Amino acid sequence: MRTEVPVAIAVISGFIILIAHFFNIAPIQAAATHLQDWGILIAAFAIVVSAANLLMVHIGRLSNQREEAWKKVNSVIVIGLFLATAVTGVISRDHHVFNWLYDRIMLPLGVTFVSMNMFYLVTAAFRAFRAQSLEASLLLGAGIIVLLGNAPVVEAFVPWFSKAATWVMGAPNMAAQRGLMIGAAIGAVQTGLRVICGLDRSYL
Amino acid sequence: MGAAPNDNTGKKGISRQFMYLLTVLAILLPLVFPVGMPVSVTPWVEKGYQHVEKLNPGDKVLISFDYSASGAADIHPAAEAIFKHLMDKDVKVITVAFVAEGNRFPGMLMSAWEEQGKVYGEDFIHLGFLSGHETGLAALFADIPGAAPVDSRGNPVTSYPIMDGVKTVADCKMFIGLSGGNPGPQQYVRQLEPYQGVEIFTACTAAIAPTVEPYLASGQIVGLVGGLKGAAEYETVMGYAGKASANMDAQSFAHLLVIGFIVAGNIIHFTSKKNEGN
Repeated sequence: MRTEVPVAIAVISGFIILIAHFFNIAPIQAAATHLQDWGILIAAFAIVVSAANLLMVHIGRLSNQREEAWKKVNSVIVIGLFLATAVTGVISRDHHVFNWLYDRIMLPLGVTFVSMNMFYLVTAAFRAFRAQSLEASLLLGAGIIVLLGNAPVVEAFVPWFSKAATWVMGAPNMAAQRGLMIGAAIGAVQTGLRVICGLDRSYL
Repeated sequence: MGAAPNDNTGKKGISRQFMYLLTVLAILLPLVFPVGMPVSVTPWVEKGYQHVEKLNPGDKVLISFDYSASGAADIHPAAEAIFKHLMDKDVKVITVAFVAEGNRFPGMLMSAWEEQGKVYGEDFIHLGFLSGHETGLAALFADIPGAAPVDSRGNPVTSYPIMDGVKTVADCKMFIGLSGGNPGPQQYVRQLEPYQGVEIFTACTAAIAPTVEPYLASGQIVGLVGGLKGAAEYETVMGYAGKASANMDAQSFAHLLVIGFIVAGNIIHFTSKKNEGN
């Protein structure tokens, strides 16, 4: 029963969503809408579980006598900010403290974190991007054209770079993307059919 | 950090610290002393602009803010430009977020426009965050008040005039997806396929912009604003210089620096290989 019931739920749910996509049958459409609403609820519960897990990990670290001091300080900051955002977020969906925490801490930190990639990018460009074979040379050429085509300072002096970059994106890139998409779509259809037919039970 | 076997940094090449210093200068100097190079507009930004331009005052548009704080530098300038365009045309805007961190961005834009006389609930509304990614998309498109019964301010969405006559996404003229990953253009196209009358316009990070090309060519997506450059193009076609245009000089010089390092790396690599051969 521990296997059959989840598989039956997956098979029935899959069929309902599939039929609702192709046929306009009122009871099936209603059932599909309910299933999708349940999907949203399950995902929301997953967020709650992950938040609880984060809290438990850091509380555990604080109670561990052998943990290093700086890690405990880090955990105190995480727990403090977690509680501040959670409490203000529950009090009001548009609480000024919640918004301040997001605008003044979360947003600058997020942007800074991604900006750090630039330093890795320049060292990687210097160390790893080599024209050692025909394929690597083509990749290098295409990359340089797209990079230069997206730099207005270059466009101002060599206008055709922008057109060349548009061609690289619209011709070879699109052909490759289409191949990837069609391959992935065939794989998705196969996986979907296997789940709906109860042959793929990897989710158990 | 250990050096890679073919590492040119260090004694034989350019030190990592010097590269970092050049990177900082290449980005910082154009921000302090802007050059103000003209930005040319690519076809897909122009087409997206034209489709928004065709909207009539009072038409309804659904915008999804699916990017996090880390993607904000790349996408938020585009969101500002497109939102400004819609507000200038008196289009009614319904916003939602399928990424938790994206939930804050509509509020930022709306509060700025409220100071300029636009009214929340009449000119725009934010439905809040909806979990479930693609499942959330499908549920919202099929039944907007059902999937999001209360807005970001905690009131029933049906109590606002902007929501009159809005049941499904088919009641909106256009869907604009602002994406930093998942859900993204592929998910939008998949879930909007049954609603043929709704045009899809997307703004996404420069990293995922190449994946949108097939959908643009097929007409399933009517326009694309790719990354900060795309946002600067959208500002250009709208006839104003915003945040994206201001940052274009820094991006240009950063691109040139990366190419300079690629060329220098190759020259050093092949020169040292030749010397080893001799």
